[in-house]
Amino acid sequence: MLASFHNLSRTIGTALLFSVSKRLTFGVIFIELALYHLYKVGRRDYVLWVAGLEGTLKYLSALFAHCVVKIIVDYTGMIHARGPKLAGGALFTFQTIVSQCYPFVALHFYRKSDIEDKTHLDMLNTVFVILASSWFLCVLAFLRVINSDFWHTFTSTVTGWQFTINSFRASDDPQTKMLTAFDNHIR
Amino acid sequence: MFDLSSPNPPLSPLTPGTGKQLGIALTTEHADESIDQRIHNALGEINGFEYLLTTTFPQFSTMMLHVLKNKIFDVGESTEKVRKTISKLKFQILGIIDNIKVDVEPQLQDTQNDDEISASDATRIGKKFAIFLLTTTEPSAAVDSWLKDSKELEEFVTENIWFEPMMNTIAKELLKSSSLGLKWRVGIGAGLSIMDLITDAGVIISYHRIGNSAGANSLMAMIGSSIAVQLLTTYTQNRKKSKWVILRELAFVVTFLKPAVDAYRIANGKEDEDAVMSPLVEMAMGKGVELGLESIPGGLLQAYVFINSPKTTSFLVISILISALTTGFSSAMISYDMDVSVANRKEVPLFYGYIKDSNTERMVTFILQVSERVMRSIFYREPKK
Repeated sequence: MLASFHNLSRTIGTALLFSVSKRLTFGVIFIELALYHLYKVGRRDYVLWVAGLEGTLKYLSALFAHCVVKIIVDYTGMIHARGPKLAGGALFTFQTIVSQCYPFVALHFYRKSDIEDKTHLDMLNTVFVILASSWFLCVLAFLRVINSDFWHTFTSTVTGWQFTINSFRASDDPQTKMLTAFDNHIR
Repeated sequence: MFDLSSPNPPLSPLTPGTGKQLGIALTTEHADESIDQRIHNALGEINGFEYLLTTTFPQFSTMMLHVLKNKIFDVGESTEKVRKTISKLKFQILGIIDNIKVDVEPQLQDTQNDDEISASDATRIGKKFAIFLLTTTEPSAAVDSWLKDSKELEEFVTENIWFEPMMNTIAKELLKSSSLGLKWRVGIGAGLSIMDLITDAGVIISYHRIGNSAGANSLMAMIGSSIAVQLLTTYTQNRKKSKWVILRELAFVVTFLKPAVDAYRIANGKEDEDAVMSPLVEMAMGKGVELGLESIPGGLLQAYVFINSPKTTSFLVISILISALTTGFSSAMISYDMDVSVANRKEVPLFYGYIKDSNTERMVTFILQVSERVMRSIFYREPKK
């Protein structure tokens, strides 16, 4: 439900913006992606923690994986992507909020554009309000039913390498310690 | 099957191995044998085992009866409850009319120890296993959450190391045999994939019809790129295996059967030493690639064409809605399955575990994330033998 509402809002919003200007839409998408990658690089959190990947392949796979994760968070709000080795909690929440604002901004540009035979503007506005309200209610219900000890994972700014160190230190189990240190698959 | 009185018993009843064998015995159906009889026969095959349970967990059979029934809604039981309530009300109304005092059923004397699990608790614990099995992809994850939610069993589980392996075996077998288990998991995996393929093909045809060949070609390119990346990840996953196995795995991708095969392997608890990733991570990666390269851009393209096309059909609207639903479903399933995985929770407790183990909250989280499975559960009935 959460992901479907999120997906519909962002998809229709992007499609509207695309109708206004292809150049503007590609520009926004490119800038968003570039900022995402810069944020990761700036925090020394770019390369993914896949065991066995070295050299150029490590960077290429990180580039590809971050692009896919960014698209998935933007368009579905996948909860799993809040992991420190993927988008990270704070960035995940920021992206989902941006995605919810996106259709309203797109509608504003669409309203101002000189397109003839515009799709019913009031109907679109109502649809976006219903989708955003339903999404927000689902988020509240979701936060209510999940374990409150994990709320912080939605706002955490911990990076992948910091998280690995924390996991290693927090565990008393030798097997878990070994896996944390030597089997860093995507989480 | 097992005999403790013989000088060299094949397996002690207190080993995990015995638990697995007992699990198989409890789930192996024989003609004209009720679940009650099956439990009695399976327990009776271990000398002294029934006596051991009488002292440690007298209501063990009651609990196992409801576990093995694997019913979320017991239609027969509910009908019986309704019938009893109506009958009681009828007597009460007649009693008031005739000004006759109604005999109240005397309460049963509770003679058991405080530490012992009562029959009603055993029934409740046994019944809720079906919900955990429904809302979890991995059988071991269902057992783990069920045990955490059943505090009454804590001591028994700690003292009896055979119990958890037995439950894991039972969970696997129930998933295989239940219409709500493996069959629909595989079915929904294949069904969604094929439905997506059909709607995509329909959209491509309709784009050609309205003269939007650029849209049709873009959609084909998206599907192609998704398949290409999935072929690459499948090859990487199986590169240590023989060429025939690699070819078979690649064929699953090309025929869109990969989600169904992945679901089958996870529900079966398959472990593969030669594979690079676990089946759960492999499925999550496959779905992630499909989402990022096909479903999301495809949905976006369809919405764009719909907004700008002078000729719009209801098929295009339905296709957009199906696309949003399947995209949401895949996204939620990845998050849900990764979080309830026993291995993930053990290895990374700082991140995995946001979904509570209690029955109600787990179900609500499940509904908020994934509503489709729940709809199916409403129509569930025990499979006909």
